[in-house]
Amino acid sequence: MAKPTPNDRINLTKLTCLVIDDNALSLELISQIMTAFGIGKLIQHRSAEASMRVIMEQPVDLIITDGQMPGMDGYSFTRWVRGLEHAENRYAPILLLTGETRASYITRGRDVGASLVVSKPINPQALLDRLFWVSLDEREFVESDFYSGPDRRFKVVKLEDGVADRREGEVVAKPERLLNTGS
Amino acid sequence: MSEVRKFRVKSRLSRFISQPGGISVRDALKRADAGIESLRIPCIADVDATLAEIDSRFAPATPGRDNESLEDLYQLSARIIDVSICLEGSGIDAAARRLCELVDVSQTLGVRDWESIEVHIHALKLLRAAGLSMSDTQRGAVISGLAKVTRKRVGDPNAPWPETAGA
Repeated sequence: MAKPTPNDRINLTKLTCLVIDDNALSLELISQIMTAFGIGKLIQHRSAEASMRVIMEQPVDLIITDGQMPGMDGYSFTRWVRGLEHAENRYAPILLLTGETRASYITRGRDVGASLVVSKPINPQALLDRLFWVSLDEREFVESDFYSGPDRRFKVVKLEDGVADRREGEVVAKPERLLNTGS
Repeated sequence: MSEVRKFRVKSRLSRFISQPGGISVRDALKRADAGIESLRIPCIADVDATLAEIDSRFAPATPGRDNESLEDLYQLSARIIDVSICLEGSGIDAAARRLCELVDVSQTLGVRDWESIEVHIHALKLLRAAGLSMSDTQRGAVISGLAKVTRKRVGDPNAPWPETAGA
């Protein structure tokens, strides 16, 4: 998608965003950005455990969670949200922020059902771009015994004419494409 | 075999983000920059405190540093990444990421090369002190030099993961 231009408008006034980060400063940075973007209601928590109650008790339209936290981390929290039964919040877009460089964690973010795994540090422009991207995300939601979340086939790439089909004309993107750097 | 269900879900974010009202992207970004600026001093203090802890536990003269956990060093470096937006443009986030990569490769290979770690710590301190006043070329040289150190002395941080190599 094209990046939003300065004259585009963003309307988050009717939305509730849950931000989770055990690092108080990092939590405040993300919260400042979301407040500046005009989010209607912002809920902050420093632990995933405390956030579970929020998810169970009220509608949340967007979740931004740190990946690495003591106790329940952002990955386990994401998997828990996606696995909820009869809860609208299970479909909420989840941005999983991570300072991790280990490739296994990026793959893990995909496999627990995050909408997007985003590298820290994240700046306002990068977060805005990701919000627009997620808002336009047309992937189907997948439910099975082993996975719940957006279709992990991140991008469908059509093969050129004359190239033999491997998966009925589509190539499944590598999971690395899920990593969107914040730079 | 389990049943796989696929269906479309339109989130409230998708429905509302483009509705009339709200604010312009220009204003949103300007307000966000101001919000970050308001946290600049505590964030820099946090970076400095983290660097001091790294120094106190992993510097050359530290007694008993061989008993320190490399995982702790990884987490401390990741903590710098967390709040490094307050020093955007200094390159300290990239250097912290290189240190994470070094620790990661070291753990994977079961090695502990103190000289490599010290080079990274020095680079972090250099970029904290002078990164913002360096030219892009100077800053880039520091950061790319760290990757070379890791590759030469420990291993290739971009090499395939052992569990997936050859898969």
